[in-house]
Amino acid sequence: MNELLRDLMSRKTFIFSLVVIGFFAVLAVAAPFLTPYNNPYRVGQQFVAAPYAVPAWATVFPQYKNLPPDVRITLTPSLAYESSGEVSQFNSSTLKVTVPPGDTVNLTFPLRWNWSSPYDVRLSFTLVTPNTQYFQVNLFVRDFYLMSLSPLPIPPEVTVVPGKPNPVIFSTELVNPGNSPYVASLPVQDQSLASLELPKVLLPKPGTYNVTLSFVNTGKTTEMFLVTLPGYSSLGYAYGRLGTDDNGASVFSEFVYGARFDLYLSLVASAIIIGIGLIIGLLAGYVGGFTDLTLNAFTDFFLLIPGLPLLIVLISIFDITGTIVNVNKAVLILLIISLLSWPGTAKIIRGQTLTLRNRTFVEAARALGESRMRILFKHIVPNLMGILFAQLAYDVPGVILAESGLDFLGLGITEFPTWGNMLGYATNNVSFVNGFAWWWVLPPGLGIVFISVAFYYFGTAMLDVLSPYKLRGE
Amino acid sequence: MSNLIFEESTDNLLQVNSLKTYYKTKTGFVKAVDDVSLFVDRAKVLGVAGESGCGKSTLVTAIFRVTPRNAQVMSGEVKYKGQDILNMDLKVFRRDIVWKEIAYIPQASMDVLDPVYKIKDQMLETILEHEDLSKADALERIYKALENVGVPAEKADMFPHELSGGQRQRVVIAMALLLNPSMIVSDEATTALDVITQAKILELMKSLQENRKFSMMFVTHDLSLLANISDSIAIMYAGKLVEFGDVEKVFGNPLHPYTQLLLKAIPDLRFRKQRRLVAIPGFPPDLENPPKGCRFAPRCPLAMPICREVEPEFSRVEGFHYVACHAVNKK
Amino acid sequence: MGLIRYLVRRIVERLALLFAILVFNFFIFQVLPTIYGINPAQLYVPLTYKGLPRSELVQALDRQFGLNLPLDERFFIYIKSLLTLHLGISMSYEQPVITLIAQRLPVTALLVIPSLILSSILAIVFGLYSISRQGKIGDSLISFTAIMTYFIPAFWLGEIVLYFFGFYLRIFPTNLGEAITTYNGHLLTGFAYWANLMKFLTLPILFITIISYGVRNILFRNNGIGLMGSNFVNYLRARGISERKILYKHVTRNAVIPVVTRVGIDLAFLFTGVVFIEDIFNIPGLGRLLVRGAENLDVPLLGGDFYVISLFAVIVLLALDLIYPLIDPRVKYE
Repeated sequence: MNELLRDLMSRKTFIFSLVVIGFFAVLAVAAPFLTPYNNPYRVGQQFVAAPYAVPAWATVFPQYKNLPPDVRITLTPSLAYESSGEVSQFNSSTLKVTVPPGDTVNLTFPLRWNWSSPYDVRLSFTLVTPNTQYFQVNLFVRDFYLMSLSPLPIPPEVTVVPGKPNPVIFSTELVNPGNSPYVASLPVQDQSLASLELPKVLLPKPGTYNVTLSFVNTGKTTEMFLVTLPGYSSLGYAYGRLGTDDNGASVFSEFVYGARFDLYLSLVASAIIIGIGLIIGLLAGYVGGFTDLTLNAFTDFFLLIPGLPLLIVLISIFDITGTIVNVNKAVLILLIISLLSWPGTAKIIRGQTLTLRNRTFVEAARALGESRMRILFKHIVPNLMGILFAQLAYDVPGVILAESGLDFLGLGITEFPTWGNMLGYATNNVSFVNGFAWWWVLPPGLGIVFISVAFYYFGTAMLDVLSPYKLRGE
Repeated sequence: MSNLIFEESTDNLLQVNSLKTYYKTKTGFVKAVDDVSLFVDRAKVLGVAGESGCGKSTLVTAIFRVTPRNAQVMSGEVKYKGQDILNMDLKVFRRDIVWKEIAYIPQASMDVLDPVYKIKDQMLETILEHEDLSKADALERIYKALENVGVPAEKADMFPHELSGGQRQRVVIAMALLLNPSMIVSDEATTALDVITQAKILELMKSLQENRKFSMMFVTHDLSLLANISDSIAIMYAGKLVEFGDVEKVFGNPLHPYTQLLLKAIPDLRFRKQRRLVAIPGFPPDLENPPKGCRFAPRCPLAMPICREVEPEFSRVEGFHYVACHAVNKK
Repeated sequence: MGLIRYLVRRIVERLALLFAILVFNFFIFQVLPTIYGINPAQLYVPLTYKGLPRSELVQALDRQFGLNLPLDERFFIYIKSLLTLHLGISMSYEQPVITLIAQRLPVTALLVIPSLILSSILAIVFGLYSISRQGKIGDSLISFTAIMTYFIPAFWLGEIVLYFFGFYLRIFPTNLGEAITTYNGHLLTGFAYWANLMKFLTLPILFITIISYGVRNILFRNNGIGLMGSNFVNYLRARGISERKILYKHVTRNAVIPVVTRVGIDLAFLFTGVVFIEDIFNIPGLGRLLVRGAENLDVPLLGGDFYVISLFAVIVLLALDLIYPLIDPRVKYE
């Protein structure tokens, strides 16, 4: 046993395969701990950052240097508020603004911005309004008149209820001519683009920008406003370990959960394939005669069925007749791929069994009167171990490639991430504009390649080590 | 040191002098041939015997310079007709010595010949590699050679797997004679053949040797084969030569305990009732870490304390009869 | 005569296999619908064809295929139709299936056969290099590359390659239609036609070559290395045959045998592999036809396609059985 291990460990390729498989196994198993998003294809888990956000670490490269991350801060007022009117601290998170009649009090919150434009801009605060109809609160960023809050329902003003706390949210995503004076002031053809353009207009480059709340008292008496310190948030263009996809979902989560699925699927499928292949190959090779003939014909038949087209047809049928829900679809794909892949393994095992059966030690055992079963399990199967492991080398990559191929064509799993459908979506969306989204396109592809190569090396190393002599003609 | 061995040589064709060929492994060296010296005289037959793993095959491959990649000649030399063939330029060696002067008869296993080429094509290739003959002439020679070894002419157009074991062995013998060499080395030429075929092949080789007068080195693990065919005998054990001498002297008066045991191990039909089959207890030593002193000591019935300390040296006992054994030397 | 008996046996086996496939086809495309109560004729008829209304088409098909006859009679008609290559009319393309297949087969063939040849040559050339430099860095590098390229998901790399060489660098045309028509929309003829066709196919051919040579390379190399230490090679060396001759004449000739088997099998199961490539590179070949058929559940097209693919596979396998004794003399006496 130790000799086996020593032999294995001396092979560089085996070490490589252990490292790679270990790495992905860890990723797959630890997935829930590595990321909170277990299905980034669901709408709720999207937009964790801007779509096509680069990975956070990519900001070391010069062309990505100024990309903003997701930002979430609470703004604090500048000291200059003392100057106009009366502003005082109501409590730790709220300010009280007292405005004399006919007067305006401006509250300025400086925003220190260190990057290029974010994807969106979002400001939120709670405004407790005076109990009259004669006031207005205006929101400005820099000099842009973004929002107008008043008790009167006149667009582009946004209605607030007097005398109550009003939660206010300004978002460039939701902005339109009906709720923002600035947008209303734009020429018509630019209005629809305002959502996209506004962040660039508001925060064009690193600098300090002012967010100003302007409290206007149009009444006859002094009124008081309460306002919480505004929260600023924006989705950035640099996010996480592997950036985001076209829906702003975390590619890293997709990758990790994809790894989980792919590994799980391929290992289970391989087990099935090797299991079936072993039984059939063993029977055909050992029993021989008529059994061999029929099993051979059976195997050849399966071999000859056009696998991929059949797969596509069956999936299409099940899709159209709506028989299968997605989780079961995975099982279905697993079963079909297994059923179409075992013939190769069976043939190889049969060949090996035949060779082994004719070797003298089996003849000797038979001469000694050992029962068939015993011969099978004591002599033949142990010598097949090498080949069985070697089949892993082909079956695992084969299953991953087949399943990924299906996903890629959009015929397999679409509801949760797999490496295959990641590649499908990524390559469909890749273009010069989004910098080829290398963080999205490359990892799944590389993942498939490395896992395949790793299992190949693993299988062939086991074959070499467990076989009494060199069998590897492939 | 061992040049005292060559004193008995009259007209030696092949001279192996203190040859050391080791295999390099990850952990050290396997001392497959460890200081072996012997010679073969013109038109004489040397039989080399020893059990599996004693180094005889390594010796043969070393002579033909076809040892595996990890084999190294550590020291010693092999001389053919006075020429150093180990250090000779490989191309010259292959062009002038190989097959023209020394030929090789391997054990004719199933795959000793290229399975995809016909017999005659392979023999043709061998001839044309060394001699500038027309195809027609070469073919004529081939058919003649096959006739000489008793292989029907139509077999030449067949593929190796279509021949029986005995026929393959004959073909391989014919192959060795194609260029009329002065010396032939055969390695286990009769192993894996049934007893009857074995006897026939042996007869064939003997008659060929007597007729054509080439020298022969006949390597085998089966000592019983050598009595009839050899002029001199060399016994190898664990990479070392333990006994070497004229065939009658060695068979008539085996000196080394190993030789004695080997001879006892030969079933003799005549003494059916009297002689028990003796197997030599124990196993050959690990050649990577051979035991100190005499390598046969662990299995030797005559082992003395000195045997486990000092390696015995060759000494001449009487005429052409050498042995390396402390027990013998003592006398 | 062992050889004749071997061949006859093989032919019988393959034909039996083909028959089994046809039964299977029949089952899927005719028996199943009948069991589920769907009139197969409905499945087999496009909405219109040459201006004829559907009802007439259904009747015509009923007559031709006897689709309203009981199953056992239908089976014979089915077999007969396959043998005479009357494969029905595609629903999505609204053309006879056999026409579609005949149109696309040459394209796929032109794509696949050069790739097969090129990748085999590449595999052997690299393999020879590896064998002669066994254990050294050149060997490791080539082997690793061979495996890497083999396991790369073709669909993924293909898109990238197509994008890069086709759209970005604009070296190759990306659309067959574009490639073979002139500016005013006429089909090119003669040399220009073929030259442009090949220009269009060059990128995918090169691509297929690169991703498929790997396995053959490794196969050849491993066999070759095993052979370099085998008994007959040692015997050749002992006879003074040069290493060069041993490698190129003896080892190659022996090591190439499993490669031929492998290539044969790859050829037989060609169509399943070529689907992705055709899809990505916009090649109107047989593979893409199959995918469209599957997506649209175009039953006549699928049935016809399945049949052609299986037929092709059986023919290739049979050819392989026939060729095999020629390259491996040991096989004659199975």
